[in-house]
Amino acid sequence: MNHQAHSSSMAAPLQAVELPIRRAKSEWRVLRFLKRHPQIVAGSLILLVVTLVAIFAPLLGTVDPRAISVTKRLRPPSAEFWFGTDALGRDLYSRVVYGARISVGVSVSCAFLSCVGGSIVGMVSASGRWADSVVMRVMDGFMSIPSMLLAIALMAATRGSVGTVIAAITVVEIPRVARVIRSVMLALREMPFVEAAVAAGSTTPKIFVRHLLPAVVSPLTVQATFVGSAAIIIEASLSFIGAGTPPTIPSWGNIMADGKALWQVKPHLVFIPAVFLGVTILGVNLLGDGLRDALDPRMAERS
Amino acid sequence: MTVVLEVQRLNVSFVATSGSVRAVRGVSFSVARSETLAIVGESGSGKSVTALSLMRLHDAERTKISGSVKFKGAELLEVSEAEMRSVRGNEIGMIFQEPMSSLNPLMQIGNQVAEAILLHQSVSRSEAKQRALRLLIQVGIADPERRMREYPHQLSGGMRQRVMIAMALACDPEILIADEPTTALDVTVQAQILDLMRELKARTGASIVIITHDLGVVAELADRVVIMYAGVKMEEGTTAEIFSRPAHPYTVGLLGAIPSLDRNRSEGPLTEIPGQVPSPSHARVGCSFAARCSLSSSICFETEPELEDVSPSHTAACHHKIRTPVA
Amino acid sequence: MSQPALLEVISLKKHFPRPRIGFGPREVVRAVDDVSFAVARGETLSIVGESGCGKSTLGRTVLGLTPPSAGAVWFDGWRVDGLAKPQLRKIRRHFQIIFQDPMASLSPRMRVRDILAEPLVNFGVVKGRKAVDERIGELLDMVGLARDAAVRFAHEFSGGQRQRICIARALAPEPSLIVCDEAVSALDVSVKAQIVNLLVSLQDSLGLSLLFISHDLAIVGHLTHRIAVMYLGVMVEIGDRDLILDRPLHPYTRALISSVPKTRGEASRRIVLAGDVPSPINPPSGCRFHTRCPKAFDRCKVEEPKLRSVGTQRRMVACHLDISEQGMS
Repeated sequence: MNHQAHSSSMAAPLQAVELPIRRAKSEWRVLRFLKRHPQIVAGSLILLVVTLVAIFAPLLGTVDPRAISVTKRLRPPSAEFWFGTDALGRDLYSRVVYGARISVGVSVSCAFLSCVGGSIVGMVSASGRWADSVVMRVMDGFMSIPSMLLAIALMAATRGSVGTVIAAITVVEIPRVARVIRSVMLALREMPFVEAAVAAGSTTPKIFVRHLLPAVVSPLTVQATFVGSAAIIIEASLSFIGAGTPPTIPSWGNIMADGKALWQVKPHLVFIPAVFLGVTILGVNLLGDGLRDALDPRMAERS
Repeated sequence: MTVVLEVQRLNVSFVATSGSVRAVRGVSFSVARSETLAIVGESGSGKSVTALSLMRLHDAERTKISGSVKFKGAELLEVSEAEMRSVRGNEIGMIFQEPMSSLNPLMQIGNQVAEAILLHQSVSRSEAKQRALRLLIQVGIADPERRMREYPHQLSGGMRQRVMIAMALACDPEILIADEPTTALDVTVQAQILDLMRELKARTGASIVIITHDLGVVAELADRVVIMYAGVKMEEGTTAEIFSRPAHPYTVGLLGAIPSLDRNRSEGPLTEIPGQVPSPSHARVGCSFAARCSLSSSICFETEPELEDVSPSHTAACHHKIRTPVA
Repeated sequence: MSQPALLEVISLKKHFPRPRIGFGPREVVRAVDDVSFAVARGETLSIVGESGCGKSTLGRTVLGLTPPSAGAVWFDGWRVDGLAKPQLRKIRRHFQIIFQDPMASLSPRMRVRDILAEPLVNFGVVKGRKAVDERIGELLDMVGLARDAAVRFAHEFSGGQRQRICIARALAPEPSLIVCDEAVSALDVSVKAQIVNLLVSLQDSLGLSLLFISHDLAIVGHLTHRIAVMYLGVMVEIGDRDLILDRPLHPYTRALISSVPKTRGEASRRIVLAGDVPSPINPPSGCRFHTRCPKAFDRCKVEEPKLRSVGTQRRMVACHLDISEQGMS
């Protein structure tokens, strides 16, 4: 920029026209971003594969996962039964593939519901001193109970179904999300730009939506992945002890529960679903860690 | 005049994920015994980075420092970390800008000052505490016995800064480096601290390197001034020369941008330097200030100006140095 | 005064009760304790003081961003303190504010266009997308920014540029008064000069009133018409700029002015105050300044002085000393 400045005796009002710092083109920025965060790429790929498996389960060479065959029990892996069969003659491969639906479905639902619920709770809490004390004590109460026990208690109080499993896990995870949202809200409330919005005539709801919510999106996304990961583990654990998904619906936890009596002779009945579980959870955690590192506010202005 | 500190062609770069950033480019200056040198600049000038480099306080992994920093003949950039530790706080004292974050909030004041002594001198604990008490008196803290047992949060900003000065002076250093020592203070407290520093300067004969953006503070304390812009030294001279006969257009602009109580708006606007400081990560050709300079011409955008003498004690790096006749 | 004042503040108080610790009386921070002043149209009144004097709280209370504990605020003949929220929101268009921290004053994830559109839409200044965009362009011109700044995010700009955006936002609803709460304190020296010049020229061209809150006497001296000096929540001196700066009467004002480091000429004899600023929770009895005042005497410890006029001068001082028009030695 080569322009002549004016001397101090200039009388006309300033006319220096200023240009902000140029940013790189957006496509390049996305690519560079991904290159710097291999965790996000790896995690997303894993989850994408698992989700596709869950969605296209019927098309992946599976048979009815509930079909019992008394004659074909406990077969080892073969051309007909890729993972072998279980104690009731059911095709393990089909059960595992269909089991992905439960894990993905439960994890996504819980993540979504607990984010919505946690946001509401967190925002209510941050809105006033009184509300804060009451809500936070209730949340503390929930958080002091180990999540598994809480989930078991909730399941015992209701009839077992996938819906109730989702509800139980959501209840358990809401306090965590609420805490995060609350602290973000409290920090933002003090910032001058909120006061500036008040001075600019915005009503409280408008300030919430236009100024506060956008700041909540990144921490919320990260929390969603952590909830998703916890949901998969809790669902599998609940099913494993028989307090989760009803045995009629295949879920990785159920499959492991069915196979646990025989695991010394037929270890693949437990290990195969366990591997799927492990890989899926790894995927979610990688994505969550990668997102958390990437969305760290210190990095936000430098990419 | 014995030279206590000599800095030659100091270059400091930070390695970041997006490449390396040159914060200080080829800066040279020297400090004589009992002299006060002010390093002046705005944000992005590299003045604080320079000060921290003198004591090698940067993160070694992410910083590349080259050049020479000679303290009493010894090359500080090459000594071991252990030797550096014996110099820091002992022969070179440092005062930071924000006293609240530079003092340990969990330690009593007396203990912190005593620790500064015990680190470098083999005296008994009680002797160190006695000396700490004397130091607190020297820096003008009233009721020092009581204050010794207090914690930083119980003291006001001005008093904390005095404590920092006491700690910096604890081992009678040859040089005191003060990084924006009064910026965070109220103006009446700043006046107290400036008076204190002037008094200590006279009493101890220490050299002072003061980093600041406040030209008023410079006028009160400094013997010589170095003006930095975007990591480069633009001008150096005695305080009188810089204030009454500035040679570099940036210095002129800086001086004109400061309002004084005897002028008001009816006499015209303050001098503006249009635009903003260039980003340190961008490559530069020619003079760093050219884009904002009212005197710039084509040579300014092609060749970086060298520091040239305006007078025996006054240098400036500019192709169009302003020469004011000596009144 | 021939014209009624644009802003009139009468006996304003703002106290913050501190959370109760144990038993006993509750501590109260008397941030603003009975302050009165007026600002005329097109005039700049600066409120100066050091940390803890209550000037920032004063600015925010005057604007209704926080409700006063007592007192009245009259704006253009309308009483604005105690208004219900919807009415307060509507009347806000006439008095705006610029904050100190340019980094934190702008929503980090909003584009400049949306930031500037917010007041325009809220107050119905212009209607319709095209008119809004055109007005945004004009506002950017007024503050010296390129028009293409509108599509960029706030965090892409430097401190000085962000402050210009804040000024544009404050100008959007066409206010009569802008409160500048340490608006240039966080900026570099050369950028400070740009923004100060901008404010002065905007005031001249638009007839704005400015309530300029600052601790920097030199900047204040450049751009203000009148000065009010605050100490620990009370106003100790208020009057025309030249009077205050050339012949300050209150001992605190004199100390403040003499503390400003001089760049030219010899440093005049400086009045260095002893001690530090006391806490606003427990201000000293009587005159709050008596603990540090070089001229305090018995009456100062007991009785708090009220602001009173000094002869025919356009100024008022709160001090027990016998002050005549000739000033003090």
